[in-house]
Amino acid sequence: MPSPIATIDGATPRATATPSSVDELRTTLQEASHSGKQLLLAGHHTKMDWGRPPESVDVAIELGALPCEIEHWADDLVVRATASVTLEELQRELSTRGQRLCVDTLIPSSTLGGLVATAPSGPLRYGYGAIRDLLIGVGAVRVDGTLTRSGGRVVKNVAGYDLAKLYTGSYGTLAAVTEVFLRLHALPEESQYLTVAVPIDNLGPVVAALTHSTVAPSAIELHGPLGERTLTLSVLIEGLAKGVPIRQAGLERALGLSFATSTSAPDWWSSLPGSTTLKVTHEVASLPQLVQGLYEIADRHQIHTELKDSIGIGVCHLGIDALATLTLESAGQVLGEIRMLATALGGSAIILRAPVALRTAMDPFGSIPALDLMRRVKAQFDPQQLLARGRFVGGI
Amino acid sequence: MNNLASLLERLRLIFHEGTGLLTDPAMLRTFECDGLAHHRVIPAVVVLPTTAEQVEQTISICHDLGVPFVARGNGTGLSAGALPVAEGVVISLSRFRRIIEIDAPNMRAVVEPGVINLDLTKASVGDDLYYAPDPSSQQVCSIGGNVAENSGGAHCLKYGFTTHHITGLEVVTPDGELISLGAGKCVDAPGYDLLGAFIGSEGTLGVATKITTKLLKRPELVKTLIAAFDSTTSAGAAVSAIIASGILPAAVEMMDALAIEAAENAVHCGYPEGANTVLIVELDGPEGEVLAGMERVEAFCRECGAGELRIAADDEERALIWKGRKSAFAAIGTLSPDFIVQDGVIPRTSLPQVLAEIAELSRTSGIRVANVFHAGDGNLHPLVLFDERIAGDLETANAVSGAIIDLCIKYGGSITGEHGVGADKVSYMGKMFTEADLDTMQMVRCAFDVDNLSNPGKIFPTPRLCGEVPGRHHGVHPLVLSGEAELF
Ligand SMILES: Cc1cc2nc3c(=O)[nH]c(=O)nc-3n(C[C@H](O)[C@H](O)[C@H](O)COP(=O)(O)OP(=O)(O)OC[C@H]3O[C@@H](n4cnc5c(N)ncnc54)[C@H](O)[C@@H]3O)c2cc1C
Repeated sequence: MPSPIATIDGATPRATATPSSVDELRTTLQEASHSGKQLLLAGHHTKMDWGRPPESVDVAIELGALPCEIEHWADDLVVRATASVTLEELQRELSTRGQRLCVDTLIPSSTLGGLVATAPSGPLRYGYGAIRDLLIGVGAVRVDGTLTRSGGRVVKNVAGYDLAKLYTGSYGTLAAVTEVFLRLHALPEESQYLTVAVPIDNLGPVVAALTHSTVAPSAIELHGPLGERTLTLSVLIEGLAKGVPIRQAGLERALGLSFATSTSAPDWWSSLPGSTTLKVTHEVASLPQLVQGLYEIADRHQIHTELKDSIGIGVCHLGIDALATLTLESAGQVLGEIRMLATALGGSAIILRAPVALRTAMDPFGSIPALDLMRRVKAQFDPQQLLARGRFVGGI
Repeated sequence: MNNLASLLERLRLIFHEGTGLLTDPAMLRTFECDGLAHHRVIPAVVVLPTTAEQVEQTISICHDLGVPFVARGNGTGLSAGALPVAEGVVISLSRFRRIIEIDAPNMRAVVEPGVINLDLTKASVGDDLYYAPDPSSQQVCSIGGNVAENSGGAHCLKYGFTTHHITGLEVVTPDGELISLGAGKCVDAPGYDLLGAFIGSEGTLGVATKITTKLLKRPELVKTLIAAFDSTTSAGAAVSAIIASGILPAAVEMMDALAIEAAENAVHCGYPEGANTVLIVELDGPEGEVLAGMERVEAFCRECGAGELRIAADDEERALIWKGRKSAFAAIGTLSPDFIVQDGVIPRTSLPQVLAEIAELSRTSGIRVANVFHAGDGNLHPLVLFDERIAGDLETANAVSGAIIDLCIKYGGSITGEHGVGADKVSYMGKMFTEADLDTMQMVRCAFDVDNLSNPGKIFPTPRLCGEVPGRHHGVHPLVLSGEAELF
């Protein structure tokens, strides 16, 4: 476990709590909320620079010290793990039984709790769904110390509301997630990464052929710096050893391209580009317009931009470290232009991570539909607004 | 003017009496129940909107007057989810059913809530796409109903449930506001995943008026195998072997002897003769993958003692195999005048123990139980047979059905895998969840529906009093007004 937080986004928490059991966590939360303390939940501090800097923090609650437990029901392809377990630890344990959680390790040593709270989107989502889709049950402690559960250990289950979805991506503003139940998949017999360079002027037909192919890839990623007019396409095919080469040939036929193959992923595959990273969502087929638009913005402002798009999902990550060195006014202009472009393509643009000054000066999330309803949800779960106040959308 | 009179007066400004607005008792009676016909309540009024605006206006009126409302799709639900409230309005969405758009390049469709599930797939065939969730009722149930129930289907083992296939919703909230949830044709709208919370909320958080769904590319190849086994245990062992090997079939379905008999009687599906149990395994995907996978599936079945085993040679043979399975519920009518369809879930590996316990329940009670289930994910549909004309039979059947649900809870499963809680299973929620769990879920309800007007009496055994939410004001809680609850 890393040492407790000294400063968070420029603020110094007045105290740190390190509960070593769920019961202790409950007491900590209960007492802190009783005295109206501003709280911040933390796991392994890998994504503390996500979201808006919280308004103030009286107590940082370190969840990384909670016991690590993994209960693997291999024959049911389900695992229960406590929130302090890291994704790597979990994968190691699962692999001994030939299984995995189909979630990419985008940021090393993330705890499962942190992963659920921030819901990063990686390549494997194309074939297996996002974290929200694999999370079948969740245990959490509310800010008043109440322990609650929703879902369960069976994959198919419609009893009651699906609170796991509500906690996923809530940035620790609703409750402290303490345990998760996850749906697993078997490790594939064979994996091949197929890579080829694609000129950005040819993206339209490539996207159409890939998303409408019957080859069923597990992931389709497009990557590269925006300065050049060519990007790298990499497709992951997984499955039975007999089937993979046939599927590769099928894809090459459909695209009229021939791939370089490798059994290991390109080095950029499992990461988020840049240290200032935007997440842009868009309609799947609008990728060519998105890339062209981004190219123009990068060119106009002379900023280096690294792009990584999950084709078929419509999630594009942009590494624009230059944003942090521009004047706030220019950075705001770039962000504004990217937001306008994303909105025109049906999606949105948020600042995923960036230096504190940038996330203080600009709203990382932009304008949000149904914000009033979200505020009402927050008011129900955390009426005093103690959990990470100000960190989430619309100042929640 | 009493509440009903002013309700009608205002609704008449929006709907034509007799077509869009029903008050005739004979007409109202046709809405008294869903597919679970032993729960019946006649509503005060039924409206049949064809636009979001009409839904919005209706709910605003209900909100103003404190009148409860219940959304209804096509009434095929099996948990009394669309059961009316006697003094309330039923909002029937069956005529609100245009397919607004098939967006093939983006692999999305936009539909109104009353669109029939199968019609969406039919409309996408030209683009070689389809809508994946396929409940057995897909020829009649509505997509709005599917959203509310988070419906599954035979192929959800591989493709997931409704919640995995919806990216955006337009919803009228219980206070009459039209809002959009989710990201339209995109994913990951910033903010809380209210879309995820709404799907499966059984009409208790408002009414969906527009739905954006994913569409999938049709697989290159589909292969369907049917194999006969001498017991559910050996068929279960085959399922375990297949899944442990890493193959993810599109569907794995099992039927026991009684269920087979019923299906044969009803639709002559030509299942292997004399089989004690049949297993249906369907693989779909790229040709290379499916062919290699099917070889292994066949081998596993043989190793586990399969007798007759066939792989459908063409679409017609496959359709016949599925016809037997999909008609199983209705077919039970050939064996018994009355039956209860259960919908419990267990960890798949507990199948042998649970089936043995169900058999024991059946033996000791003298009530026959036919078993049809989604064996890949442990979703059981025991059909509990009885004859209402025989004194005490219904009570015994209910007891057996309840005991099966208790078994599911005992083995760490769920009281419902796809049919929902509705009014029917309200009393089991407290067995599966703690007070605190239910209270937390109802906090979401309070955020959406302070007055508990949207499909009240469903899912939760006792309504939560929402209290004052900062910045919001509302009248006296209807439960307080009616004397059913006190504020403290
Ligand atoms: C023979 C048979 C087989 C079945 N097989 C399956 C199966 O394989 N898998 C499965 O999951 N289910 C199955 N079902 C159950 C049922 O078909 C599904 O629950 C279906 O989704 C209900 O759709 P509906 O349009 O009939 O909804 P209804 O029964 O009318 O309503 C169901 C619920 O949805 C709410 N609702 C309806 N429309 C809306 C809306 N627009 N907005 C908000 N709430 C709304 C209602 O209030 C109610 O709570 C089966 C039923 C039958 C009769």
